[in-house]
Formats: sequence, C-alpha cells, structure tokens
Amino acid sequence: MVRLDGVTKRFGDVAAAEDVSFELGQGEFLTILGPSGSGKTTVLRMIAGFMEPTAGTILLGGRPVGALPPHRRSIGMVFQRLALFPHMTAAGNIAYPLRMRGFPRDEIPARVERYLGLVQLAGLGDRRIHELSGGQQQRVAIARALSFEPDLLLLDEPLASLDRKLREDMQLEFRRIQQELGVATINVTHDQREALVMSDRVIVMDGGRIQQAAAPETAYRLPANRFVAGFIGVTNFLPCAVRRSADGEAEVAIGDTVCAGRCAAPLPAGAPAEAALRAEQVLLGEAGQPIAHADMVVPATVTEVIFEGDRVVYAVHAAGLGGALLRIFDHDPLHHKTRRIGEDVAIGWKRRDLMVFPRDT
Amino acid sequence: MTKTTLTGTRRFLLPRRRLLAGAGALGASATIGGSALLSRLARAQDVEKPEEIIVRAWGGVWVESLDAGVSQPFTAATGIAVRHDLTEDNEIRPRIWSAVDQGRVPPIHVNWDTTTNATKSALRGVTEDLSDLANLEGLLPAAQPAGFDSYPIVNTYSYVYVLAYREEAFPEGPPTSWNVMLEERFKGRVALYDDGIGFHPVAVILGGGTIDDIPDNMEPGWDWLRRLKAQEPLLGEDPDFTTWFQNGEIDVACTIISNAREAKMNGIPVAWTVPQEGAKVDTDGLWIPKGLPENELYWAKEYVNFALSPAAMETWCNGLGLPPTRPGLTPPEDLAGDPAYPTTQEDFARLISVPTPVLVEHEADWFAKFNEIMQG
Amino acid sequence: MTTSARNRSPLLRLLFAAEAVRAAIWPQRMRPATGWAFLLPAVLLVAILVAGMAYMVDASFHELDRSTFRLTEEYSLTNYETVLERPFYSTIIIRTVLAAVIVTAITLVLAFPYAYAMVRTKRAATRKLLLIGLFLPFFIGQVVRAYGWLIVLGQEGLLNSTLTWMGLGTVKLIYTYPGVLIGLVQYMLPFAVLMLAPAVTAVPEEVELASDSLGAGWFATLWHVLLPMTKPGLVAAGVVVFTLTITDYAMPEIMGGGTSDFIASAIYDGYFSTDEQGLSSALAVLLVLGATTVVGVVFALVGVGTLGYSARRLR
Repeated sequence: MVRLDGVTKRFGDVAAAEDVSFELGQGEFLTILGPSGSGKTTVLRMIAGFMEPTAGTILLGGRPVGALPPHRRSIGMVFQRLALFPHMTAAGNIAYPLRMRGFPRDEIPARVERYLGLVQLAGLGDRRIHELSGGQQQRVAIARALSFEPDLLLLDEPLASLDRKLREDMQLEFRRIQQELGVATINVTHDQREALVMSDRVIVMDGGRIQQAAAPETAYRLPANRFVAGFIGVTNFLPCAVRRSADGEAEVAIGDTVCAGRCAAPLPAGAPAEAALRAEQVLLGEAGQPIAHADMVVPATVTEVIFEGDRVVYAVHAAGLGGALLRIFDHDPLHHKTRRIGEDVAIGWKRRDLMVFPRDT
Repeated sequence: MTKTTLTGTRRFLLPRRRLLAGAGALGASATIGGSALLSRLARAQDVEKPEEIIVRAWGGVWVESLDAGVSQPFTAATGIAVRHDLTEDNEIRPRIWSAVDQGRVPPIHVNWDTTTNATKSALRGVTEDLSDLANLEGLLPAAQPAGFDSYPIVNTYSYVYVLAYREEAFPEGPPTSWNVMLEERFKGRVALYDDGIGFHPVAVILGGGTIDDIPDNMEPGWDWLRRLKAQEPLLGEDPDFTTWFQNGEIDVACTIISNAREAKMNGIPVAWTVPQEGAKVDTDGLWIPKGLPENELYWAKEYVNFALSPAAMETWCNGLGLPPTRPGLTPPEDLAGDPAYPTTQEDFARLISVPTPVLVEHEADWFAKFNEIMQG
Repeated sequence: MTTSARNRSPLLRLLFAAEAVRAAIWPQRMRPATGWAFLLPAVLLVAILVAGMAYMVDASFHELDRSTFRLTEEYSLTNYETVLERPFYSTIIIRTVLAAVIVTAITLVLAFPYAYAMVRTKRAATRKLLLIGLFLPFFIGQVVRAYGWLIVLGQEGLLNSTLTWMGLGTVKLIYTYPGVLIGLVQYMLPFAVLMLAPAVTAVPEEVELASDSLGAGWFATLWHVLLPMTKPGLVAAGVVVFTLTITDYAMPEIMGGGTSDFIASAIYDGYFSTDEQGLSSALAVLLVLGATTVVGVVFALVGVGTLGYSARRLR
C-alpha cells in the first residue's frame, strides 16, 4: 500500500528525517513512535503530501507520488487538534470530502449516515461541532477521514489531548473501526502504551532515524538498542563492564556482581556497557532469602515507597550493584505486602530479562 | 476661500476733483492719518492693554503681507502682540456666530473676511460698528459696505478674478477671451474655484447674457458652464491652483490675481490677463465681532484703524498686489498699468462688479447650481 | 518565614497602596456596579454625540432666512424636500453609496490575501516587511499622501511617464472618480487588514491542511472553509470600510479635482460655505440614517455573533 525508500527531509543543515524506509501492507496498522523532534510527524506530513522529501521516494499503491498535492492523494487524515470545520454540522464535515472528491450527489446522504453509524453517532448528524463532546468530535474526525474510502489513513496524535480514560476508550475504538474497514493506517504518537495497544507493527524513531521496526511485543521484549529499551517501558540502566560475550549472550560485572544477560550484537571484552532491567521484571524478596524463579539475587535497601493502587513502586539502593538505585513495580497478588523505607530486602531477576547494550560515548 | 464684491464700479473712484486734490496732497493726507493715530494712542494710555490681539487671516502671501504692513508696526507702536489665526474664514464664521449667540467672548478680535461673508455676519448682527474710526477719513466710497449706513465692515482693497494661464501653453500670446477654456486642447486642463466663485457673472456674459441679467436670468451662464463641464474642469481652492500650475496639471484657470502673482514670484511660468468679456472684481474687509471685553474692543478698533493708515495700507496691499480703497498710494512696480490692478475709470469699466446685497441673497443658490452642473 | 509588607518591592507596594485606596472609595459591596462604572466614560461620550445629533435633527427642520442669516423659528420639511428634489444631491448620494460599495468590495479582495500572507508566512522577515507596509500609511498625513498621489498618478507622474515610455499614451486617473476610489482603497486597506488578521489567525492552519487532504484544492478551500470561517472579520472589516467610505470627506477633496464630491463635502459646504446649517443638517441626518440602516441590515443578516461577541467558542 505504502512504501518509503530512503526518504530524507532536511531543513537547511538539519535533517528532520534521515534515510527512512519501510513498507505497509493492506489493512495493516503501523505506529511511528518517538519523542517530539524525532521526525515522526515529518514522515507523516511527507506521506500526506504537505511537504516534499529532500531525497528518496514515497510510493502509494505502487505509484511514486512525488509532488502530488494532498487533495490528489487518496489519504484520510485525522489531525492532532482534529481540524473540524466549525461552521458545518457533523454530517456536513463527513460529507465534505465526498463533495470535494465528486461522489454522486444522491449517494452522499446515505454514505454519511453509514459512517455516522460506524462511529456510533447515528442521529447526531445535525449537531454543530461545538455542540458535541470531545469524544464525539474525535468520532466525527475519523468518520470524515474515512468516508471517502481512502487507501491510507493517517493519525497525527489525535488522542494526545484527551484525558486518560477517554484516550484509552478511543484507542480501542479507533482500532475497532480500522479493523472493521481494513484500511491501512499509520499512527504517529509519543505514547508508548498507545503504540503497543493499537498497532500491528511499531516503528521507533529518534533523531530522524528509525531505531527499530518490529511487532509491539518484539519491540518491548527485544529492544534493538538502548534508546528503544529506554523509551518503551520503565527501565533501569546499570553501568557495567563486559567480561565476555558470544551467541547473543554476555557476561558482565555490575559493580561487584557478575551476571549474565542477552545482547543484540557481540561486545568486546572490557568495553563499557549498560545493563538494562525493566522495572516490572525485578522481583522482590525477603532479605537473605532466595527468590522463586530468579536466576540472580542481590541484597538491597528500600529508599522510597509509592502506593499506586494496582501496584507499589519502590526505589531500592543495591550496594552490590555499584550502589545503583533501581525502580521496581511490585504487583504482589499473593501477599499485598508493602515494604517500609529503610527495610532490607532482596531483589532478583531472570537471566533472559537482563539486556546488555554498549554504553553511549 | 470664498471671495466676493461691491456695488458698482463707480464706488472705487473718487470724484474727479478729489482725485486731483488727493494726488497733489498725498504727503499731507499721510500726515493727517498719522497724527490722528497718535492722538488716539495718547488717549489710549488710560485703556488697559490686552496681552495680544488675535487677527484671523489667510495663509501664505496673505498673512505675510498683513504682518509686514500692519501687525508688526502695530506691535511696535503699541507694545501689543498680534497673533494671526489661520482658521479658514468659513470655519471661523459659525464659531463667531455661536459665541455671540451664547454670550461668550468670540475666538478672535479682528476678522479679515470677504465682503460678502462679512455682510452675512453684519446682517446677523454680530459685528461692531466701526463708524468712529479716525482713518475712515479719505477712503474711497467703496470702503463702506453696500446696504449699510454705518461701517459694520471696512472694505480695504479690491481684487480681480483673472484668467491665469501657463505661458508655455500660449506661445501665440495671451488669450483674449474666456472662451479658450472650451478649446479641445485644454480638455481636463482648466480650473475654477470649487463653488465657481468669481465666475458666475462672467459665465452669464459668456453665455450671451448681459450684466443686467444678473441675478434674475442666470440661465445663459449655466448654459455656458454646461459646455465647460464637458471639458472636465478641475475645481479647487487657492493653494490647489498653485500646485496644479506647478505640476503641469492645468493650463488655464480663473483665480484671484494674488495667487497667480505668488506662483509667478515662486518661479512658475504663469501669467494673467483680463479677457475682453471682463473679469469679476470684489473686495475684502476687516470687522470686529461683538462680545469683546471693552478694553479689548478698544484695542481691536485701534488695530483696524491702524490698518487703514496710509503707510500700513500701502505696504499691506502692495504685498498682496491689490489696489487699496485709499487713493493716492504708490502701486507696486510690477502691477502699475496692469488691467488686473484697477485704479482708473477705464480699468474698472472693463471689470464686472455685482452689488454685495445681490451676492448675499443669491450666491448660495449660484453655488448650488454650479455644483449641480459640475458634480453631475 | 516572615511575611511583611516591607519585604515587597516598591512597585508591589505601590500597587497594594492603590488597592487600599480602591477598597476605601469602592467598597466590596459595590462590586456588582463595577461593570457600569467602567462603562461611564463611554456612556458620556455617546451622550455628547447624541446631544449633538439632537441639535442637528432640530436644525434640519428649520429653513434659513437670508435677511438675517438665522434659521427660521417655524418647523418645516423644506430642507428635506430640497435634498430630495435637487438633482445635485441625488447625484452625490448615488456617487457616495456606489463608492462605498465598490471600495468595500475591492478593499476586502485586496486585504484578505495581505492579511493571509502576513499571518501564515513562516519567514519573520516577510512578516516584518508586511507589518511595516501596513503601519507606514498611518504615519503619513493626508497632505503628504495627496502629494504622493500627484507624484504617482499625475499628468507628468510616475505612472504616466512609464506608460509614455512604453509607448502606451497616458491615462488620466488623478482628479477623476476612479482616482478617488483608488485613493480610498489605499486609505482603507490597512484598516481592513488589521481587522482581518485576527480572523485569519483564528483559523488553525491544520484546518486548511485538513481540507486539502480531504480533496479540496486551494480555491475550494478558500471558498468552503477559509471565507466562512473568517466571516466575522470580513463582516467587521466590511462594515468599517463601508461606513468610513460613505462618510469620507478628505479623499474626494484630494483626489477628486472638485468634481467628485461626496455627501460629506456637500454637508461641509452647507455648514461653512453657504451657511445652510438646516440643509446640511438634513443631509447629515439622512446620511446617518442610511449608514445605520445598512449596518443594521448586515448585522441582522449575519448576526452580531459573527463579530465574535458571543460566549460560545470551539475548543
């Protein structure tokens, strides 16, 4: 459906997007994830046709689009601030692309009704935009972007401004509608949770470059580099020295503790590195006791306790790990036990959950 | 600026005997004027002097001449400063009227005005009587406004609405008739005052009427102006004529001689003439509004009296290039013998004068009719 | 921690002192009347205007007596009859209204792209240039402006020298009706741009992009999105330009060469040249009534809400 080959966008000396290539198939939901300034929006705007790439090609339906203006491309887009037309009704907004794109006049009302139904706004077509709630406006925006059956749907962080509850509802709603219509979709967001929840595939961008392109679970479980590991999930990074590495495995020394973990590429012995441990993959146990399922156990002291309801967040100080401070998510469905500040505990993890990345210099 | 008139050419002329006597005794009459002034000033020591006298005047050459001929010498003689208020004559009039109506002190002490407009103020009863001024002695009959037994206004000089022309446009010599305005080559290059002032009576003659048709049968004039309308004339006010001549926008205009003379003195190649049909002659005058405190009224009258003294009048009027209403003064060199600087019976015979009462009664209607034709 | 008035900065102390004075002369319980207090200066101004209008209306019903140059005591409709009967007045009324319509239309057509470019340009230098171009005319007086036009449009002006040099002959624009219109458009343009700029700013650029992505070309977007969404600004600017034009005095005087007078010129002449205060008052009353009616009809058709004076806003 969409293919990008070495797409680059420069503003003066600054490369907003550098050598971006990927392909998107029919019905696929792709999320481009990254912090602001990562180049994700630039890529989206180039696909939409609002800006032209400095280099590289973009193909839509197999044809290079080059300088084709947006209104000549078959792309529906939902904007960050929705960009609905306040002087029209909900139905008027949805009918707008149909009129502009020359759909037969007599077909338009039925089609508008169908899409109002699809986004569960049946009967609200006569409402003015300002008479609708935030969630309803979101639905009008997506109906408007889809009513003319575009080949591709682009979402430019439309959910970013919603409160959390509504945002989570709308994530599922967008996914439902997208799957019902089977339209290829590219979503842009800085919200890692949204990326994991909605997508078939995730592209993580930073500094204008693609850091990893993978299924959500892969991106989470097997981050390609330190950036991805840090951007998705809450991760503890522990400075360490590589002792040896081979076959995707590395043995490292974290402070006084020697342990094993996985690495994406072989690392030279003695090289500075960082060991990464996700907060929810650190297990908590009684001081001096073994921890079930843990391959490694280290003593630690609790320095901070935050009760969040569904979990307790701890900060612990581990003298044996070079004095590192670790963040731990403890769900503890069995004991409902909350530790005190200053309490001595044991922390542990499974060998497969420790990832080793070369340290950024 | 709106300009107007007089009541018949004869009023500008002294009876023959007096004219001869006056010419012989110019020095003597000046002495008489001067001593009269001094005697009044001597009495005046008792009357409290105001800090300043405000005199409304027109700008440019007009105020400069008044300042040099009257205001500066007056200040030198009395110690009273003179301030010139350059508010348009038409805009000061309603302000004086309402001040008098409401019993307030008027905004100026002396108004330098056209005789027609001054007459309106006199008819409205807002002018002080100036009959007791010593220097009225020896003025021409034309100094007294028509239709009054007293002197609510003193007319100080006459002026002619001449045919001014760009010399380059007339290589063959000065135009002899106002009808040149209708020539094809001057289409869009002819200018009149924006209400037609100074031209209505001329138009009547041009249209085949006579002086006796004014004011009852103006139709010949309107016919002629309709033909002029097809020439797309420009309509403006005093400063416009100078600008237009300077920028080559016009070739022919009907304007007051002073404006043409000022343009010429500024190096613009402009000349003027009185065509065979004649040209309208008018007067301006000085008057004092009612409602001044007694001492200020006294000194305002002294100012007007001073303006009428021979020396002051000569400098003032020569600056303007206009013949004063006092006989026997020396005309400016460049205008001596110019038909647009009328001093003799023959000069006045070529000019058209409409009595002020007729103008006061009818001029507004003529303006309206002129506008109707020109704005159509 | 010590809190003391002495710890405050001099400015803050001044502000708190002012607050104490306010509390003394305008106690808390008078708070509901505060809004009215703020309105007072405006009310006074309007009252003066209304009083002046009342005098004018009264004068319009009295004829001038030319033997005393005062208005007669008796009430009469003569002045109004004169205005309606004299072809001169119908000519200038038609000319003035026509000018107001044409000038408003042309000004809006020119001001919109200007305001749009000024708001949307990404280059700070361009925006500065456009802003300077916008504000410069405000610093140029009418007289300088008049000479400027003479230099550009005069017989021997810039335009005609250029045309002559190109072998195209000359055009006469200055001292003609079209000349007056050109002068008025140039005079009104900054006002219109100033009023349109906020209206354009209020339309998020995303909305235009959205329209584009939904299949509308630039002109379709202009017609279906930009113009409807900037309607408040267009109406406001239109009303301002229309009323300023229909009451203008200076431009016909400067650019009209005396033969393109507007209603205001006739009113002026009546008051100051021919002393027809009654007739001029009648004309002024008719002008005020006419202009008010037009503005009223516009607001009735599009609603005052389009000026943005409504509580409800989108997001």
